[in-house]
Amino acid sequence: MAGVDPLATLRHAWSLPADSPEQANVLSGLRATLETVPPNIPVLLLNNLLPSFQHQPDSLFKQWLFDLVWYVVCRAPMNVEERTIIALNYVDPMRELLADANPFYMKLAIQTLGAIYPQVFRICCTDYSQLVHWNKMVEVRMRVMEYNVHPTTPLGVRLASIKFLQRVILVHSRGPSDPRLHNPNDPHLAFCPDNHPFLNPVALKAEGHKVTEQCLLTFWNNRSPDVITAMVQSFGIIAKLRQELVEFVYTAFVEWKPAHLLGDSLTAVRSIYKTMRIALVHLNRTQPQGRYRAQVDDAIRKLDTKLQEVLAHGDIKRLKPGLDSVDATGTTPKKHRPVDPTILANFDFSTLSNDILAEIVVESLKLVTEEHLDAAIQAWKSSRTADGPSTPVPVQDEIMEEVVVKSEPIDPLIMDMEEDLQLEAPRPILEMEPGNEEMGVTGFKLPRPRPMSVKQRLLLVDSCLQRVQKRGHDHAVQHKASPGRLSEQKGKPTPEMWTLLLVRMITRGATSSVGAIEEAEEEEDSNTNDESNDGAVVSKPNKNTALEQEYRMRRMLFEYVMGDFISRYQIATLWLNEEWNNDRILLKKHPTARINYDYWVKEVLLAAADRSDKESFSTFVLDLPELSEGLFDLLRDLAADKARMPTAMVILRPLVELRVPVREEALSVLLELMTHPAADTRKGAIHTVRRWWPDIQPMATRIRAYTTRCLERLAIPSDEEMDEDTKNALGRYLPERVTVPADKNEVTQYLEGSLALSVKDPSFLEPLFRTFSTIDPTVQEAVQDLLVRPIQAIGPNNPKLLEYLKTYPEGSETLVLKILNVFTEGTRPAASIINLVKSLLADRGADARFLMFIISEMDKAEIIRHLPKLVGTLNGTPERRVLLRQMFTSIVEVTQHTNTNQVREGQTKLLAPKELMIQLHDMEQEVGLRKAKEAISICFNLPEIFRSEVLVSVMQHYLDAKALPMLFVWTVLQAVATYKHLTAWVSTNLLSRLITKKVWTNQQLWDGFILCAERTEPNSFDALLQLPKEQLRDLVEKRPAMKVKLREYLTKRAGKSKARNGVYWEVLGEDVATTA
Amino acid sequence: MDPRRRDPRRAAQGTPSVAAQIPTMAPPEHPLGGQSSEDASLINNASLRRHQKRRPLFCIVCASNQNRSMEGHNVLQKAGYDVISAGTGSLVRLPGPTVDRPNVYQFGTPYQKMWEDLHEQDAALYEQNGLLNMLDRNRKLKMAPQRWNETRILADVVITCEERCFDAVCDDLLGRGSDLNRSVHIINMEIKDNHEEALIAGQAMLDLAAAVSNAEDLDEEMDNIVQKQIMKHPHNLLHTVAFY
Repeated sequence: MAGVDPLATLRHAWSLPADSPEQANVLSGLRATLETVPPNIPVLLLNNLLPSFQHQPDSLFKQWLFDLVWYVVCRAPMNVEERTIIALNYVDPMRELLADANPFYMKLAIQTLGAIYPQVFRICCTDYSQLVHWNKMVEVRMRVMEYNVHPTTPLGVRLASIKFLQRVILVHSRGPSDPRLHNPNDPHLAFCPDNHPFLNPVALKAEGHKVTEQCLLTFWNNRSPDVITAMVQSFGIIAKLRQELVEFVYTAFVEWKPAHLLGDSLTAVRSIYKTMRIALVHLNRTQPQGRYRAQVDDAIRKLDTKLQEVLAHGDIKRLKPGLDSVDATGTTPKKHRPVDPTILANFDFSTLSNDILAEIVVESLKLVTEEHLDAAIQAWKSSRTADGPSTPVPVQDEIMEEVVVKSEPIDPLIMDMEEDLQLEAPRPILEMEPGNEEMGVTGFKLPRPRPMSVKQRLLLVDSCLQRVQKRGHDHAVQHKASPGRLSEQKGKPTPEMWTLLLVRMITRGATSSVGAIEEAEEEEDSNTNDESNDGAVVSKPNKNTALEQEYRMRRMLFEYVMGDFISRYQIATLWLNEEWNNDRILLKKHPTARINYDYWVKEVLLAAADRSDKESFSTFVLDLPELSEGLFDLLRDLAADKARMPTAMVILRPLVELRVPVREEALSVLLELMTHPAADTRKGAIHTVRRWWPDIQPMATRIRAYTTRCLERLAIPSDEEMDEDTKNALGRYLPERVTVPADKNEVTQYLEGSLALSVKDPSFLEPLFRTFSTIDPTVQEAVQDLLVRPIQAIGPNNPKLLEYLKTYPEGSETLVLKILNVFTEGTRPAASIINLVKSLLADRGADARFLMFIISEMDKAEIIRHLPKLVGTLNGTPERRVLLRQMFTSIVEVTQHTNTNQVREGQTKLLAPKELMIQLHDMEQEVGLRKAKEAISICFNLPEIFRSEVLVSVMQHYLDAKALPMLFVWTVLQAVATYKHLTAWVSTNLLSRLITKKVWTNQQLWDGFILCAERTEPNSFDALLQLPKEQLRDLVEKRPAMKVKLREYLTKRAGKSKARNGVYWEVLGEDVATTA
Repeated sequence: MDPRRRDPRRAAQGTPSVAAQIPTMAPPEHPLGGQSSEDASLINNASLRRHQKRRPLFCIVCASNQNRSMEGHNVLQKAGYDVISAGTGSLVRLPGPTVDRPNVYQFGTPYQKMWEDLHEQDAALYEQNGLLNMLDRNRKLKMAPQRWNETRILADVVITCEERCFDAVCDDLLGRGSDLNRSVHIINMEIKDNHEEALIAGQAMLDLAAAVSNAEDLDEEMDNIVQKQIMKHPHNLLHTVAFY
């Protein structure tokens, strides 16, 4: 095959005479080639050829082409995803083909669409943007269901429909719920999530039931053995794939009766039973574990018995179909037979096609005299009205009875819209429903409607509308109470056929074309003033009464709808859809035609906004064929209203998701609403937007861009010039610049979206880190306040956030500290935070403010190592002092007083108060006296920890040490000041020890010593007297007041014995002498 | 016109002599054969009438794709119809020297090879019971017997030669899952597995094929065709519509 070039072959085929056997040969060869090449080649061919041949008349080439479509969709070797994507391209051509008159194309279309239907369902389950394809499939399903029941459907098309409906039933039923057993080629309801925006599993299941019912009715009532066997085969597949339908299938088989069968052939009955048997045997063979195995075996036995009975009858007698089974679906065209009255009695007329029947009826009536006919009709009528058995009157009566062929009335709702374009084209014949006793004849054709003058039309609409207003409501209620009506089965937006008719009369009945307007002008010339105008403005009220009328009718409809929008909005939907469609039609004919839709849609929207509830308004807006420009402003207004905000969101969300043309605009509105000054509106918008992050594109990208820009705007300095684009980028709700000093609510407007989304994805905080240093300090403060809750929600273990904290840019320390603070406030820091801060300290040399968060989690050695850094943070501000104080309490072990048996956790880890105090003293050189002093004074503010005995032990420590820290004496002073009872110990023990340590060698210490002695006088005097002479002299020189006191003390203690205290007197007395 | 006529496998297997045996590519009674050259638009205006009719592809199926199905294949092909054939058995079984010693081959073994094999075994015996003759005919029609379950060509009408085969064909189609949505008529013609019956049945098949080919709309007329076939020929028929 490698040598064959598909394109060259195609060209060759094309060069041959169209539809010739030679061309057929070449094409069939080409098809065989295409089946062996990679599937992209036929796909490519189709892409190029299909558009141009789609609308060509039937030809061999066209048939070949569409058969190739079938091949690509059903058979070509591709994986299911590829196949589905490619298949979607063929949905529209195939739908068109569905309406083709040629059964070949109809069959092909149904076969192809039958394979596409499940796949569209499957992708719709996951991809919510495929609604449009699903809608097409629903329409196709309706169409095929009609074909399945319509009496004139060609048998081949019917067989294809049966298969199509089988696929539908499979989709609309539930297969295995275990996802591992899901086969993408056999999708079913379990594929569909319960919260799907437009696929409702319950409703889908109900639709499936409806289809199953229709199939079952066909199965039991159809008279063509081919239809029956085809259904048996398709039921066989259903039973095999859907455990839940096995029971249905075998029951249907067992209950099938050959009585309705067309033709008395033993073969047909045997074939049917045989086929059933094969299907059931196949089922049990392929599903040895089946739940219904025993029942199926039982059903097989029953079928065998039935078949035996049939066979026992030998030459089976033809079972004449009863008149009750008037399903005339099994029509096989028979050749014309001579109308011979003697055989008519036994002939089943319902098997004939309508044309032939009509002919027979006409021919038969020709043979009958008029009187005879009258009598017969009378007799028949009376027999019907009397409800008695029909009187045996001649053959014609029989014909009458027989020809009551049930046929579905053609619903104008399902007529193709395109048909409406040709207003002059003959309408399809409306056949009367069999219920109509007077007219129970199929041959009857409605005459073409009489053309009406414009005035007549207007009057008709007027009266119709009035009737609607009077009785509309009752009727609607009544109708809803009677389900199963044809129109409802079609799933049309309104069940009211006449509503549609009325709306159509209004939208296009009166002056739907320019010609009609002119005609109206002429006609209405005389009585222009007849109709009272209700004051409404019409474009040309005086010149064109027809337009005025048109306007008036629409206004009436408008008023009616607005009278109770909540229950009448569907009429508005219908009406505006009609208007829109009509506008399109008119525009095609007259490019300058007046457009009604735009005007009325605005009117209705404005009026309905105040008179609707969430449900009605959103449904209405979403059903509009085209969204007017003003809609978004209206939605903005709605969103600003706290009570109506949900309505706006309910509308905006599907607009963004499902209506791609307005997505951009709707999304912009939503994003801007995220920065609305009103908190509720903001929250509503954020809530709506959140769901698209992070997977739903392109929304996610836009969300990211917008929030980033919001944050960046915060950082733009107030004096920087902004171009117009930047100014407008954030929409109308934000001021051009951030107000300084910051207003918290305004900052919230900028920030709330990012913060809310950051809970889902902390990367939304990234711009904040980046720009934080350039933000105004007051704004920074507000930002920090706002951050608390989202940060709490994100939690300390989010890797992204940790990453940002780790790599924060210079200048945003305060932000990082704030976040760390949030994580550590009131609780022990998480392991992740400890690691983070440790690495910050190690790698980035972060300052001690970071230490505070984790210091309590460190061990003793680490604490001691980091302590100077911590103390170094003190700068005299109370905040820092408070922080340090907190830290001290967390790193110091409080001695347990209560129960000594308690296990002291962390005892070894933590510092003893004494140790801390000593550390603080030891670092006085490192951090500077001032800071050390500040730190120690913090300790003195914690009397419950640094009790007097602690202080004593500290002082004792230094007394035993080699060198004294500078602050030692200061500490002593503090201790004495704090604990009066320490005075005794200090004055005696401590001071003496200091003297032995020659405290005077250090001037500062010495000064302190003197101060201390002064504070503790007179207890200190004993100690002072131990001072060497020079030092004592120095002391009294510095503190002359003490000299007197000392002398007094000395005198008191030793009397005037100068000899004993000669040395002191020498020092103390000098002064006396001099003063004396 | 039927693309499946040019199935690659057939092309690969077909011997040059096959083509030579086909007298004409067109069916003898193509009802619309003359119309193809007419103005397409004229025909198109003839509303529902289908002016371009696909030539149906027949598939004749028996157990071993040797006697009955190949006889059908033979006559239909000679008459110019599009036809393929297959067997539903697991193996190809031919009578051996005694009843309990049949000759068994895999599907796909060329007829030529079987002929040589039997010829070597006992030329006289197999000449006498007609096997060599049959294989000789078969090897001129196609390369080797094909198994139904492995056939992937889609036929429009499948004619099975006994109920067992009918069951097997239906069962196999159910087993395939019928994902292609394409309908197929399966007709069973009860034929005894001997040369004489096969010959008689061949003629019946020819009638059936003619009726099928002449049908304006095959689906629509199939029932009548089957009815007529019953009237005309002694074979018991079964008929079902199944799906590929």
